Amino acid sequence: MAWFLGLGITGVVLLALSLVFDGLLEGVFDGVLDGVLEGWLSLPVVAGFVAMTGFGGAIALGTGWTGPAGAAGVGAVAGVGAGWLTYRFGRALMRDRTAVTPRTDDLLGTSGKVVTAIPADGYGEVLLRLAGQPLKCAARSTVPLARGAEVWVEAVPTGTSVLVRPVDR
Amino acid sequence: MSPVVIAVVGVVVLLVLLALVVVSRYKVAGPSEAFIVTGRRGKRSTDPETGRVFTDNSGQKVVVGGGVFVVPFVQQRFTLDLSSRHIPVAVRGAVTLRGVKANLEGVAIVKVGGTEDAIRAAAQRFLMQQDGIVGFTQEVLSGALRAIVGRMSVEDVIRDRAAFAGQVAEEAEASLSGQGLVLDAFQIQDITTEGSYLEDLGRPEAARAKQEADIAEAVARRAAEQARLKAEEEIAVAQRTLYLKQAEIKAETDQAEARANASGPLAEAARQQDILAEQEKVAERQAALKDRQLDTEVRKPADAQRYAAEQEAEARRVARVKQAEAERAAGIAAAQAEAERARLTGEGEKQRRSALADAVRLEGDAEAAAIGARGAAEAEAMEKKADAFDRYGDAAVLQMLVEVLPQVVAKASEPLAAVDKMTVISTDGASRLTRTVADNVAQGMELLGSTTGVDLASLLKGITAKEGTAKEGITAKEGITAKGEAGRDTSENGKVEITD
Repeated sequence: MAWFLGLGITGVVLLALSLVFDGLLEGVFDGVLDGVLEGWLSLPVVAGFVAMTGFGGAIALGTGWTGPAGAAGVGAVAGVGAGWLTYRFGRALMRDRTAVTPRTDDLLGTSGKVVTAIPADGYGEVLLRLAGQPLKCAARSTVPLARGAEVWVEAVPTGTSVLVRPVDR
Repeated sequence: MSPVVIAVVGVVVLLVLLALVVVSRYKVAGPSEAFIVTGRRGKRSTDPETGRVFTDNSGQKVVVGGGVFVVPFVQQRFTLDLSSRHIPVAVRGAVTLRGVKANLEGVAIVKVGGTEDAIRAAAQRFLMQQDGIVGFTQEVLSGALRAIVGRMSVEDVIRDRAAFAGQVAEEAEASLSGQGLVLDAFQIQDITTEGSYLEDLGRPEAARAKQEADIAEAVARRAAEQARLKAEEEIAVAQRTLYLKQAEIKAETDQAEARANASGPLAEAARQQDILAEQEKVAERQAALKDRQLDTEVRKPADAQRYAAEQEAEARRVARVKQAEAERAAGIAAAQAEAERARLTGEGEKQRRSALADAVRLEGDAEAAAIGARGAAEAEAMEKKADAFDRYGDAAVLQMLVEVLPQVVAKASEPLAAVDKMTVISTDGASRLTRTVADNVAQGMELLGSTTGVDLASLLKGITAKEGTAKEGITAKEGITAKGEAGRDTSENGKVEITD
């Protein structure tokens, strides 16, 4: 009985420590287990398995449902379940790519309006929409464009300048 | 406490801790920051164009405004602030396109670009020195501003926003884009020039504005002054009216007062007038009484006497009128008879006179005919005589003159012939008498010459000296003949008449 409880408490303390000293325990091994401690062998999974095994065995034994051997089996099953759940939760969060960072190439093909007239041989300014936000860019064009003209982005030479041409309707 | 309860509590605590541990590794980026999560290996990929195999940098994750699961110890998370940075930029003594030196103060708003490329570039440069962005960019932009101003004139910097923005974009492209920085705005806040260039730019307009303002002010002042004067005029008119009214009222009140003051004396005067009127009546009555007494004592007898005298005078006048009328009628009758007589006498006289006039007229006619006939005969004789003279020449004329001369001398001595007795008292003696005759002749000839223009002496001299000249001689000759004739006519009457 005491063994089971001790095992459970050890797992809980391990988890608490890993929460307080975030990443510290993984760092103890300092790269030795690099990559190993991800996925199935990550600390929350292991700690969850250990603690759940102990607490599960203690509950089974304490209720008098089975003997010590049976209790150990029940604890192991519960521990595996907890570990698997932890693993799945972590995976789910890791895979969740909520926000895709906009890239410069995304500007290609978008349309916008000229806010500062573009001369034939210089920079003007255009207001584009990128990933739902307005973005003002320096812009060049092969033909002079007046303010308010609607343009397509033809090319993106640098991160802050674009090459545009007027929209032909 | 039973071990079962402890185990159950332990399970609950375990579950909570598990959840906390997993969730605590999920990091969420704020809206103005970017996460750069490093530590993973990139994926191997193949360049589709060159076929080269390389490991991309997908292991270095850039998260903007989202969440990311950071594996403890394996991965590292860094935060890059994306918010704007306010950068004051000042340039002193920048030389503009036309050589005017200008001092400029501007402000730039710079931020790290929002795209993955820009964040990666900026993270490499500024992640550990984000406060250095301001200083670094300030220096770069100061240089850029100096370069921009050098390509533009002061007026364009002030006025041509588009051109300035274009220049700024060009500079920013060259200096900032590669570092992942975005120049959101760049504005000139203040521009001054060395010397008074900018002030001079505005002076014409300022002068014009001042002129217009002065004109407007003057016009307004004029209008105000006119309005004020008009108001004063109206006030004066109103005051005049008021004074007139006051004077009128005062006159009325004075009048009333005077009347009131005078009422006492007037009443007194009226009473005295009444008294006088009564006295006048008494006097009138006395006068009437006196008049009546005079009537009876004086006027009536006088009237009677006057009437008697009038009657007598009237009778006399009537008698005299009657007498005068009778005399007048007699006079008229006598005058009428006289007039009738005169009329009859006049008519007889008139008939006699007209008969007489007829006789005279007939006599005249006959005489005129006789004279006409004689004249004609004489004219003919003269003509003949003239012809004869013409033929005779000056000798004949001289002949005639010589014939006449004794008569002239005789006539001249005629006054002396009338002398009964003559005593000559002269030193010359009796020869004085013959000289007087000669003087008379000479004076007669002189008189003839001065009155007729015919110089008899010279004529005689000319005839004796010369055989006569042309027409002048003839004219003189005619004058002489006429003279001679007249002399002959008048000699019959015994006197010499000298005419033209």
